[in-house]
Amino acid sequence: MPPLIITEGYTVTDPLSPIYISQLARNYGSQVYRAAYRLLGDRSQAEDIQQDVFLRLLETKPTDVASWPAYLTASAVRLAIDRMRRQRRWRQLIPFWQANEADSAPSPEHYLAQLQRNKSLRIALTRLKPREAECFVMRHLIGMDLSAIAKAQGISENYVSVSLNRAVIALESRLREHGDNAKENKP
Amino acid sequence: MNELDKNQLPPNLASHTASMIAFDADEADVQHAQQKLEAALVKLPAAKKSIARRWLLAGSAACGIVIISMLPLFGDHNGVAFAQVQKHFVDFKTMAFTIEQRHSGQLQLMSRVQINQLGDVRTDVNEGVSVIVSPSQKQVLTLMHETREAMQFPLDVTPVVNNQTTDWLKEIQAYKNVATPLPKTRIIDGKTAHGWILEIKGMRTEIWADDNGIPIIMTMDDGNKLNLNFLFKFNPAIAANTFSTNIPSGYSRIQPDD
Repeated sequence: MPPLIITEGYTVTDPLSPIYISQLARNYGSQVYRAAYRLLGDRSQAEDIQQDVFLRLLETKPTDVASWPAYLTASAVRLAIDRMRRQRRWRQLIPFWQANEADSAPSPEHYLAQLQRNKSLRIALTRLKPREAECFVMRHLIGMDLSAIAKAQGISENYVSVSLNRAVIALESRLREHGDNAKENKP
Repeated sequence: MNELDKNQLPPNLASHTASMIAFDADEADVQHAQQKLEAALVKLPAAKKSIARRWLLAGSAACGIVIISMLPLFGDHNGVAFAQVQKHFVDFKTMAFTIEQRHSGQLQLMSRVQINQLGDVRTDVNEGVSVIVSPSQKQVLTLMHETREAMQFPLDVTPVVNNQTTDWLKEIQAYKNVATPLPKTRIIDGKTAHGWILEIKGMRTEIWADDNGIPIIMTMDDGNKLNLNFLFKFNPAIAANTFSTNIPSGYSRIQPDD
């Protein structure tokens, strides 16, 4: 685990000490938030994910992290997808939640189609296998390269490619199946 | 990180991903979140607690917990006539009630709750989900009817509702404060109803009961925007399988998310 350079001019080598985690948060907190927001489209949920990612470091104490930005982004993606899965199960049952989703998203009329596409893609992602969904999001929504995804996931680049392929096929199928105008009431 | 390679995607999927990417986070929000994060990390225990609470509220236990947590709020008060009302909360064999939860007058949740003498509680939320908490079977079952999915897990925490010896019922029995009678009667479902007003957990609460002291409705108002409206039925016939925590046929088992 590489030491972090603290801005005051000294280094912290104690892995995952609170000060180390604070520095990680300072360096990569924004990136984690953006990743969560891109998936969830909601400020408060993105904040929750952001905080959870760093608080979980204290419990999981990961070792052998080759790239903190990749690791933390992958963690955010994983938690966000997990949350979307839960929401899909529950929102379909509670209309109030449906009515209040994505409070940060703009809602002018000309954005409605865009919002619908986002919703369709989120739903489709929650129905993928977790690994495939995570690889897809990291590659195509966050923009990570294959080697970074592989390191973050602890798998080979070849396996990342296979997962991406499968994800694309499954997503295409889901989106075609439902269509942009499908009355998908099961987010 | 590389450029997003949406060009490698089929057109339809590329369009969807581009659409999602277009809704990027606002920079001010990012900064605000960053400040909150750093503040939370300064006070780690408090932050962890806060996160856990929000997950709990947002997670699958939400519906059941909303209902269960309200049950202790029935307790409290006194006054000779009101003692009759209290007695019905104590002596019931079965009890059913609906709860409307409104925020700023807008209906948020509609739930139906059924309780038996064993302390088993079934909550049906908005027709779509049922949560059965059964101390007698030491199990919790959650059913999601549209998707025909079921989550089943052991009840390893003593529930608030158990039987007559549970805290919330004791609280009603032992309540010594004054419940203020309301001066006028109302007609509810064709019956003359008598009301009492009291404060429970900081909420202005009215309970209306018929001539026999059988509670009919209860309303709770937090003085801000939240209103809870209860409609009671005491000792209704309840089907035997209402409180079963076995997974019904046609439902597939899923694992709890947390």
